[in-house]
Amino acid sequence: MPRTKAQKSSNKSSNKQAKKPTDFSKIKTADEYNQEYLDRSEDESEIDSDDAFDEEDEKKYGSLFANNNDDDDDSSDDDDDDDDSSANSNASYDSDSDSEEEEVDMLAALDNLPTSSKSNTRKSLSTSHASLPESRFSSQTNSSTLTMDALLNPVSSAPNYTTLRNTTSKIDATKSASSRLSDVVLDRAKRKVNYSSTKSDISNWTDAVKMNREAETLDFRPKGRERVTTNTLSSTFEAANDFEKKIEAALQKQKALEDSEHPGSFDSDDDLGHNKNLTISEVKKRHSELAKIRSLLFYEESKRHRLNKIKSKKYRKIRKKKSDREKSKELDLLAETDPSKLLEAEEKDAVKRMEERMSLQHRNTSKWARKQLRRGNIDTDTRRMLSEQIAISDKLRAKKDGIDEGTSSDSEDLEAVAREVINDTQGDGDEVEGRGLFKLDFMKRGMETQRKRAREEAEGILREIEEEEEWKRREEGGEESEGGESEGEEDQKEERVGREEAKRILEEGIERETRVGEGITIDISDSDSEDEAASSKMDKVENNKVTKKVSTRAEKAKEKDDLKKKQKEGAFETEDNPWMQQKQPSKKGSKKVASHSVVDVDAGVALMIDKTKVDVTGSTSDSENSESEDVTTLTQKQLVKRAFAGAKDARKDFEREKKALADRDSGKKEDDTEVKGWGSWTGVGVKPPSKKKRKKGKLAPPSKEPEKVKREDAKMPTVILNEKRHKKSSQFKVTTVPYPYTSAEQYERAMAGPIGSDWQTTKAVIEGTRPEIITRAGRIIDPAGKRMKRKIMEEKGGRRKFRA
Amino acid sequence: MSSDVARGVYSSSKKSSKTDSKRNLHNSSDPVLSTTVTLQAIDKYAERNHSAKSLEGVKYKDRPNTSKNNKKYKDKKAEAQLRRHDEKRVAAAVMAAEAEILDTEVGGFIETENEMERTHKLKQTELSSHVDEQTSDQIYDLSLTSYSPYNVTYDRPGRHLLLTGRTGHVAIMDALTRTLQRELFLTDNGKELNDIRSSTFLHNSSMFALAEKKHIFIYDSVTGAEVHRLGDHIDPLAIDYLPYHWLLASVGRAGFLKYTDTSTGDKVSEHRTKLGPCSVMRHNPYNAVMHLGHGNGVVTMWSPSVSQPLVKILAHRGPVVSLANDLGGNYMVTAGSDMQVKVWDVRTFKVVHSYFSRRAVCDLDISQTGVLAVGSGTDVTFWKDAIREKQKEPYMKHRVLNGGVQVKGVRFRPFEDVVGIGHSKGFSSIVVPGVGSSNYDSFENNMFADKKQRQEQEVRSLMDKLRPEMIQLNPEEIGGVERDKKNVMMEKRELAASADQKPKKEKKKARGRNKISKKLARKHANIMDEGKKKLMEKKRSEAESKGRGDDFMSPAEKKRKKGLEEGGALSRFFK
Repeated sequence: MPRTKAQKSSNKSSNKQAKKPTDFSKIKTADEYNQEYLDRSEDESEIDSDDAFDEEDEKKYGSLFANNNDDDDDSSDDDDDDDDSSANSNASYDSDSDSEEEEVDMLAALDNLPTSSKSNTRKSLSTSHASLPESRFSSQTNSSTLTMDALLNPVSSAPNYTTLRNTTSKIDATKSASSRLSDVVLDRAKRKVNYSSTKSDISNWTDAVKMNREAETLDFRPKGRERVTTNTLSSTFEAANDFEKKIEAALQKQKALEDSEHPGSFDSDDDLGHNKNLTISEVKKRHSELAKIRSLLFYEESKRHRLNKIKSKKYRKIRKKKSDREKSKELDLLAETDPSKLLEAEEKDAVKRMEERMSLQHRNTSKWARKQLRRGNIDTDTRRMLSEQIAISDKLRAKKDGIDEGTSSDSEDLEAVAREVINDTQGDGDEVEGRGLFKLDFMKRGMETQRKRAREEAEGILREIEEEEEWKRREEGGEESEGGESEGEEDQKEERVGREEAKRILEEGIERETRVGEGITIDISDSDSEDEAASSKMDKVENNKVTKKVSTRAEKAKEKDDLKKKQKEGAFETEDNPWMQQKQPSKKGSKKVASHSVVDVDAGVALMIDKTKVDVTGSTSDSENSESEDVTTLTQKQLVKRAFAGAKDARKDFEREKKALADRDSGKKEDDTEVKGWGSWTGVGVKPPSKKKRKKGKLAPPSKEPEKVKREDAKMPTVILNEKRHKKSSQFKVTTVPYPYTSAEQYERAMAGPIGSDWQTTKAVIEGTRPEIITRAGRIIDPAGKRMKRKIMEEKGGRRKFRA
Repeated sequence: MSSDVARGVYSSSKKSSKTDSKRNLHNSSDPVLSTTVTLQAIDKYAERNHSAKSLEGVKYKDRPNTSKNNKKYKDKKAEAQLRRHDEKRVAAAVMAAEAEILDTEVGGFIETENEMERTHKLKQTELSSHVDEQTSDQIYDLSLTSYSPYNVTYDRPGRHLLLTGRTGHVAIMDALTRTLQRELFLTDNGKELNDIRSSTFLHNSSMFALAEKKHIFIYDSVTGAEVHRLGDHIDPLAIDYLPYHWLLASVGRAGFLKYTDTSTGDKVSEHRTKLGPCSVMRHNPYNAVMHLGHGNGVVTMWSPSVSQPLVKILAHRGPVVSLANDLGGNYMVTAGSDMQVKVWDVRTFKVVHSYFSRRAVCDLDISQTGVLAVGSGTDVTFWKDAIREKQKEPYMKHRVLNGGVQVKGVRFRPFEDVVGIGHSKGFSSIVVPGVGSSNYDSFENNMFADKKQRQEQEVRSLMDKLRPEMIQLNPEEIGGVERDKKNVMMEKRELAASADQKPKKEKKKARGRNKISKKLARKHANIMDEGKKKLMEKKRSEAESKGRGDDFMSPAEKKRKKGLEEGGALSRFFK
């Protein structure tokens, strides 16, 4: 207790100063200090002595300070000065560990000292013991400072005080202590030193802490446990008892037997023959053989590579001719030896030919060829190549004599034949009259059935051909119909067709003009002429014959010529029409039939009308009344278009709606520049002024051009997207990005990917939901050691990492 | 011609992609390959989880595992976590791809042996000799002429078949054993013919709903009893069921789209389409958005929580006849009266390609493997890969009963290579190799579920029921961050304002102490007994004698008196 007091107290005794360094040395050596210590405030470091040395300690160490207890009790009652002095004296005694009597003796001896400094000592004594009564020993001068040396000088020369000298020399090692630093500076220094030492200590843990922090999971389960698998079991198996030994022996025997039966099956897995049975010479031989083969292969390969790289056309040509010659030779040979193989080869050729016929491979449709052709100005080489291709194609397409004769014919021929058959069989059965045997009834019946069958067959063929044509046409038209953009094009095309039709109708009208009652003038230049014509016909014409009149003769003549030309070309060839299939099996019937046939479009159209509010009456009445032939000339698509003439309205409606939405979004208003309410009466019950009546009132300042809010569907003419925010579904979204994430993208990235076991493999689920700490219940977790990193690295090397 | 139904051969593009990914997976030790693997895996994974939409907008460099290009985040820890998460996702995707090896069953299409053969020339009779007995058993026709035409519906596991004759015949069949489970004649004792427009099974095959003349009716498929009549759904033309939301949707002649929660029976919402009668409705299995085809050629998409259509597409000239969605939800196929069959990408709302049909299409359906069935006239054609790329010719073709019938409805039977065709002479079942998914998840669609399993599944699906508000075009947005800040702020402000205003307390009209004596007196004030009458008379007479008779007159009396006093022309109004 006195010692701590001495440390704390503010006295300036040299004794205390001498003690300080010893304290420092103690601190320096302490390893156990940690950062906490540094962080303590000054107040805390200055522990009150009473607190620091409590009763328990006193019990322990009380004996050490037994001597001083009395003094301490006294001093606690006295004022500071007293306390200090007593502490001071106590300190000196501590270090000496001398008795009180000795001190008394010493004082007495000092009195007797015959030195010049006697007075000084006295003075000093008087100052230190101010409470002493005045005597001859009390000081008279107060001039100089008292030092230890001065005190001890007389003792050093005196022969009686060897022990004292020794002890004092111990206390005062070499020199006097320097002047005392202030507490603040001292504490700072202390902290500095503490900090640096603790820092160096703590840095030993940084790796470990980093590892722990970065680790996804901390696994505190016991390590080094081996997993029991069949492999580990079998590799470490040793026969323990007799039975096992027997079995092992038997197995080994069996193995040896197998080895002897299949030598090299297990041991020699190398081509070079790492086999015990081979001699060295054999191995060498084999080795050289293999090397030879390998080198040959390599040579062959490189040669082929070189040859393939040759770009000379001449070379290629020669080679090709050569190969052709060889081939033909082979074929000849085959023809002699094996006719079946020849047949096969021919078949192959046939297939090739078919392919050629089907494809456009050699029709100069390749990208290169097209490019060349487009560029014009073709040089001789390319021209030759192009023509070569065509030649190949022609060659392949050419009929093979011998094989193909009679068996295959073009669809045109077929068609012709079919038509012929139909025409032949068109007449009634009665007309057919035979002679002799053919007159008999059953023969007639047989003939009839045969005719019927032939006719059916022919019809079937015709239909098929037509279908094929339809397919082709559709494929050609397929590109057009793709996407909404091309529809405009289609429209134009149809308009064109419509105009042509109109002309044709007119033509026919002219032809029948002789029977004209009253005519209608039609403006051909108008694209909608057809519709108008139809409506006007509706009004005026009751009978089946429609008559028309065209204003100028010249036009008529011209058109007539055109028409005739077109008819010759077959431009108005009829097309497949599903609505008329039943009524008109043959489209190329006699003209008579065509002109009088009435098409029943009702059924088909009625079906459509039922489903739509589309107005198709115009077109249907057309067809019913007079234009049966014209309807047949229309393509399927045109028919459909006619049927859904109202679809245009739908489109317009759609566009209008879209525009309205866009305007609403961009905040566009009506052109109303007047200030509202200006120039009109207001109040309840007043009618809003009509626009006409409204005078020009005060004009509002022109509003700023509203910002064009770009709608998502701006570039999609046939789509309207709802861009309103869906309030009800917004409850499933977060309004702000949750804490650790700084952006919405980050958060969404973190939330992406399912966790549940329904969408992932078990392993992925386990990995995805791994806990931060894995440990066994009740296991004591050791604090992180300095060498943790190394340990972990070692472990990781051994363990399988989670594969990413 | 060889039909590899059992062994299965994958068609060109599918095969290549599949084998490629597999091969790369095995070589994943190679660093270069492993990166390709991961990217492929992500793409594949995304495709499978239908999140292609979410990845679509993301630039390629922003995709996971290419984090080198990403800007560094300030928070290192968060960054590390994100990186780890990405790695895990990739690893999970790879694992999922690898786990496909467990799908032992492989589906296969018919393959030709040489170029001259055509798969669509193969007839059912020929096919039945090539396939196993169980499969060939599925080729059959039911001649049902008196209530035709018939509509076909399969339940989700593909076990049960619901046949509904237009004029009132309903049959539930076990499609596996080809046995009749229950037959109903909803014709009012044969006096009046019914009009069944549409039908659907509910959450499982134990109940089904029919859109009849006036309302939707729900029947028990075991007993055939009518369980419910949904009076809200008036004159329905088409109905559909959303199994994960437990919603029954209908649209009718009035053009109102109505949703009813079949677990609670509540009406969830009702939208006015404003586009007239509608009889074409199919839902998108990916996001449960309802697609409607209208008479003016418009296709609209609806969510129950939004009163306006999410998307409106002008798809056809003339009415939309039929539409179908593919399983992944990325593509929609529509058929119009304009003879066009169009394939749409629902993500971009653009036509991928279109086909021209020679005959009017009556019904469409898309199989689990993406085969498109087109019913038109007497034929049903099947188009393999028709959605991915434009095909020149069909994969299979079937002329029902060799012509002479009108096809009404075509539906693929899930998890089987079987197609059900309802037509004007009954029902036909045919086999089209490769149209059914060859592997099924027995926790999801168990064809062989027993009663207990079905019950368990019912409870589980009820617990997993999704809320109707979750239906939106991109379901990936759920759980994301609200981007529309402006609106959010507005809403918050409104909410705050409403929170500040305390609900007004209702004022008590009678103030002061509520004495029982006063209460009684108030009550008695209205009672007219003889004593009171006498008292009134007395008071009145007294008042009259004093000249203040007016005080005790009723208003009508006063008026009359006034009129009499004024006399003249007005007096005749007062008698």
